Amino acid sequence: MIEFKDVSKRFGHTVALDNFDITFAKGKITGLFGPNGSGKSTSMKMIAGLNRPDKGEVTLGGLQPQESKISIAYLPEIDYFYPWMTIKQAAGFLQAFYADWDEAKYKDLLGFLRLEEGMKIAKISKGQRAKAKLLLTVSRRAPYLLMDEPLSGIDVLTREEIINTLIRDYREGEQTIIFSTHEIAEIESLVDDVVFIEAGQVKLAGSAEDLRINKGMSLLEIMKEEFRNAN
Amino acid sequence: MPTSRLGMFSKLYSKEMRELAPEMITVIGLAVLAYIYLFFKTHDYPFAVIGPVFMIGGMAAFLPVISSFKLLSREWKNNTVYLMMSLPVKGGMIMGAKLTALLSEYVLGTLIAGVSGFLLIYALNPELGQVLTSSIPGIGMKLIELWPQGLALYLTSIVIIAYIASISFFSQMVGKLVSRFSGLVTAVVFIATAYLSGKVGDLFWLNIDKQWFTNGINTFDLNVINQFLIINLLFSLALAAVIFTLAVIIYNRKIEL
Repeated sequence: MIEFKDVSKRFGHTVALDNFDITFAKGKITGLFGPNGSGKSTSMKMIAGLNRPDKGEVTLGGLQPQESKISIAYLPEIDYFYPWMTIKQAAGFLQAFYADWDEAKYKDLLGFLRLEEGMKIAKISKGQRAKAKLLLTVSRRAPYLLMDEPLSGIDVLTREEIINTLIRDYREGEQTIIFSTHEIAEIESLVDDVVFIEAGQVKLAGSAEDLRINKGMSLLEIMKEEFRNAN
Repeated sequence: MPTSRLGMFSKLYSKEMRELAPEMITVIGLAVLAYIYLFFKTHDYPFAVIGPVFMIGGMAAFLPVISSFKLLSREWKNNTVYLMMSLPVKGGMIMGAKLTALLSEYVLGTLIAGVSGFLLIYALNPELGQVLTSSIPGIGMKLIELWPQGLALYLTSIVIIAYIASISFFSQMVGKLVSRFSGLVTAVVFIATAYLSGKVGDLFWLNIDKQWFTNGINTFDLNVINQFLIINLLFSLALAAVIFTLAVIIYNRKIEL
């Protein structure tokens, strides 16, 4: 379980999170949805221990993010691997730090995503880099998987591969996944719970199924309605 | 798969060495090419080779200072800091690996440039052998017999590189705490830290018995010289450790993305 207790965060004059208070249920896939600049990436980075709240507290199973890094697999939006590394070198690098690295899963996913170990990060296409990032993140059996805009700027076919990889690989009840994106349509069917976030505050949260039934709309339509009304 | 602290450090260190490889290869390659050129071009004036050899040695010695800035700033520039900061290790290991790589760069560069430079000077000036093995007037020792003091000086130079690299890390960490004029803040903090730690050094040496030291130097008392070298080495090491620790504390507690 990941808890945000009245968390606020500012960057200069910009409010990134404003009394953000939410619990991400254990063993479920949660979609963190909101427009650009709504605070999605800040909250993901906070869970990963890359930034700290100005006020409030974030805990993962009762522990501080800094103490939980070993349990977190974090996929940021940007390319964060050393460009001179090959996929094999990057995998070898991560293996040294995480006991939950699953070599069999890595080899299996490598084929599934049509990647090769000898591919150099700097020389592959954007889509391949996105797949490589995904491969290196989900090849671990991490209890917490954070994915920040994994579909951003990726073509439709690659998006499908990424989503299929996640569906194929998800261990229900064991793994807590948070999927942050402003592109809901593709992952609508994937999420158990949703959190709509705007201006650093929770706008709407709950079970995806319940929301769809209660409002008689898809998540995408709910988001459009919520944010249109807000504007 | 089991992991170990040593394995993690080794991976980080290998990664840093790979990051430094282009600069190291360039400087070592330049040194070797320059020495080959000097070997064939200075036969008529064999002593003329000494100046360039010292210059190349100085370049190899100075390289880690420049690299200390590049190594850390590149992490931000290439966004690889996201990977570094999400690893389950503290700043001590991250920066320790960087520092160890910089010291390796220094040792490798100075040894290659130094040994090959010495061989070049020796090849062009065979009488150097006599200088090394004949007794120094007024001291009664051969130059070659002073190798332990030479080694102590070399170790001190390694510690001084660690000290400068620690100031570089510390100033960059402070620079990262501000969103604007980060480069300027880094430069100011670097100069201020170097100045202040220099003042601490002055205070420390003021408390050392000057008479004892001056007499020892004048009479070439090896005991005094050895003690001076060891005190200097330990003091520089302590200063480097304090500044490095401050940099690590800022990394662990204050750096955010």
